[in-house]
Amino acid sequence: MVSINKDKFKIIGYDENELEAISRPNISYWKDAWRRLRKNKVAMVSLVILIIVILMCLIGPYLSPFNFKDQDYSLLDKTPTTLHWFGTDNLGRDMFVRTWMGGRISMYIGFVGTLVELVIGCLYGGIAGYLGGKADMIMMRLIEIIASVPYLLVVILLLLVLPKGVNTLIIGLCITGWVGIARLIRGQVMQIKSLDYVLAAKALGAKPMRIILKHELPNTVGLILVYMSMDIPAFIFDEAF
Amino acid sequence: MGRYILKRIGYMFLTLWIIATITFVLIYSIPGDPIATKARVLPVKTMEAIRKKYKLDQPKYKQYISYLGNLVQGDMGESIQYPGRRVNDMIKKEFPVSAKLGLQAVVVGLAVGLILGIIAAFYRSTWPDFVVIFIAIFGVSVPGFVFAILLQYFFGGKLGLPTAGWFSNSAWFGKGFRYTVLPTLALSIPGIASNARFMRTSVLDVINQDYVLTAKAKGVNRVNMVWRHIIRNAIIPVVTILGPRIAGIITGTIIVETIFGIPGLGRELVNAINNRDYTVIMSLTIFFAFLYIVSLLLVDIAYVLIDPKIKLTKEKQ
Repeated sequence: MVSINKDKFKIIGYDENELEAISRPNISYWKDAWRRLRKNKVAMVSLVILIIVILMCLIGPYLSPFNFKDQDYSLLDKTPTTLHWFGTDNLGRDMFVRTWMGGRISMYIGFVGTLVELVIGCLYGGIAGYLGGKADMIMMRLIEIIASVPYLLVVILLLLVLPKGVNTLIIGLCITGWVGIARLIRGQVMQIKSLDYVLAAKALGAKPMRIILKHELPNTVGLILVYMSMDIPAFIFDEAF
Repeated sequence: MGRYILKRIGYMFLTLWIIATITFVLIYSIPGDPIATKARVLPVKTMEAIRKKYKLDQPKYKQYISYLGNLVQGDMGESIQYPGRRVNDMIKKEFPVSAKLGLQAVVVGLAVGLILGIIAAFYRSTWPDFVVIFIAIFGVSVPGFVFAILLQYFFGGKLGLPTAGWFSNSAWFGKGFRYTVLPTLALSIPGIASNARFMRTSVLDVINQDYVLTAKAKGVNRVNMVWRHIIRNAIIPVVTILGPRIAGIITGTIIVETIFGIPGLGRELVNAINNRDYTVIMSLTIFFAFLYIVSLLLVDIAYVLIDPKIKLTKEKQ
């Protein structure tokens, strides 16, 4: 057995400044998230497919010589050929270009609609949940009213007032759509509100809006993401309907 | 708590009144009335007579007052499109059908969804997790009508389950039950999908908390740990979305009802709006709103029961 004595060690000294130096590059929150995401093969494959679809929606229509409106009456309901890569529809229009043009609108509605809903819903739900009491009472009754008025009536009326188009559709879908996320956030915030870190923030004199934005909403982010992942396809289906 | 519930019930009447008013204004600002759209060929005198019968010739505010008056007495009016059909009878006849299907679907969706979500969270990034995520994505991204038709195709023929139709309202089990199997499945799929996703996310949040570690260290077995420590802290989001879903699903969904030929309440509202059937729109809206508001109240009560940290009333400081 080798005995370890004090004289086997030697103090080589240390530099006060060096101790404080950061030897490795700082890994930020997002970098860490990205590193973990890269390990997940399914996620990476999905990401690549998603990027391809987005790219094709942007450049797809320019790859083919046809316009999405042009009709060719000699080629109705054709299967894919070298000329029309996805075939033609019952009116003789090129399906390749039409697919990507349609994809543009679907994506626009899906992303913009969800984003608008998310911003309104998170703020509304956060405020209602955090303040509680009377404010919560009034804000939640407002949600009940908005959710209960038939959606179809609102859309018909909007179409009368505003020009027919994508943006009108988004407004129509958003008017009633933010209610769901707002209630979800409210429930979660009510649960989080009594946790210690909120108390700590309060004790440090943080304003309610800061507590909602910096402490409560980041802790509901898992829910928000799940809701988004279900809301984008829902928007796209609603638009189709 | 008791005072809070009473207060909420009081507010409910106020909210219902506002909803009735807004719907009334909305309906009357859409051009066209039920008589004009459906009966262009009628002689002017007949048309006037019909208008008079439904009080459409009176000024708007009088119509509004008389409608609210009837509503307070519990009379929801008569369909203009189909004379003789009273909305009260409509609800009495069709609501049980929709409610029965809906409740079955909600129970199936909740049970299966919760179990799948918890399993997925426990086996994160292994094959059970991927299977659950696949089911969830499938449930969210495949439209309901496609799924309903697939169910009819695969289960209707081979297992001999009826593909469409409805038996009778009276028996919950027995002969009528066979007719409810496929529509219930079709209705419960979106519920299973979203419950599983939300449960998975919030269980993952809870699973890393110190109190779960403490429970594990104490040697609490898995079932007890899930039941006592995890579900209570993770179920809040599922409860939140469950309330309106119950309200929405027991009043029927138009797509599933159309495909399976079920005499439910869901298609009535859409028909009514397309036909400008004022009284039916108003009354069904109020009825749906009533169910929605009650469901939100139940959700809030459930919050407090599940998680004592949540307080509905502001405590005095």
